[in-house]
Amino acid sequence: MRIIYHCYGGAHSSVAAAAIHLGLLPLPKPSREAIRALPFFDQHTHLDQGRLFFYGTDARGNEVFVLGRAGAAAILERTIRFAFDLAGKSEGILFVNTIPAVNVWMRLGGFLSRRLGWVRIGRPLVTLGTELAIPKLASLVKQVWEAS
Amino acid sequence: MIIFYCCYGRAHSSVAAAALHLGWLNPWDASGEDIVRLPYFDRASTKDFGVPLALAQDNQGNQVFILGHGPAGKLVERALRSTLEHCGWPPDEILFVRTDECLNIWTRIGGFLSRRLGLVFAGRTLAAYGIRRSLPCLARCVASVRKKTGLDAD
Repeated sequence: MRIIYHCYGGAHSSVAAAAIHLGLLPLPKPSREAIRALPFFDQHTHLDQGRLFFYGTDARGNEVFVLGRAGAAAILERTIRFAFDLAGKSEGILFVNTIPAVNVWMRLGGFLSRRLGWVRIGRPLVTLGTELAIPKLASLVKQVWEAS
Repeated sequence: MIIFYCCYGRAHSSVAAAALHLGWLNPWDASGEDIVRLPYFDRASTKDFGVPLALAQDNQGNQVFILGHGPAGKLVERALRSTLEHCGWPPDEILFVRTDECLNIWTRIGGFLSRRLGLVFAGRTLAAYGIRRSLPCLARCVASVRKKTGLDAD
């Protein structure tokens, strides 16, 4: 199965969810350093939106991806399903929207860091926001884990 | 190679460009009626945004698709390319051709009337008129693609 965690920019909530899925974050309370050190965390820019990033393979052999889809979730879901289908790998694709777990600190920090380029202010804020969002993200991932 | 002719709605300029590529349309002698009769001309809806449609293979075995990116613009191209590359598709075997640079005001208005407002007869006629006027531009665009894909000599 292929599991695609997607959010607006593909930089924070989708990355954290994919990391939780793959066991890269110690639950229930990962440190801010562990969050900040995650691959792709607070890295992607608007030029990466739409691009599917492979994050790893879980213990059951599912491939886990992150995707920043801006406001075009439905369009990109159709596109990515088509592309897997064209490549002969259409079976079992699960799209997981991580936006419901996003809080105001993540939005503000993400905007400052990714949109305005104010990384020194934005990154600590978005890391704090992600730390606060971990319970919601963990519960979302748990549902995905059970479904997969 | 797989070739994606892309425009906003996958209804007009991408259809005409793909038809030129496949030799279904003569750019110097096409009537409005020839354009309206093209398969999938002025047919797509917003539900088709993001989903490429296979038209045919050209003489070199390249698969020709038409694609409407809708409001997602460049994101659709990145999604297709990154997913195919993840699946092992060679990057230089994927070609995206933007055809909306050849669009004019007549096709835009016609497309809006037909596809958005449902005024099909008036909109389709106007869109076909606009595409007819865009044919030289589309033909130049397709000629460079045909050279790149080995269909025509340099």
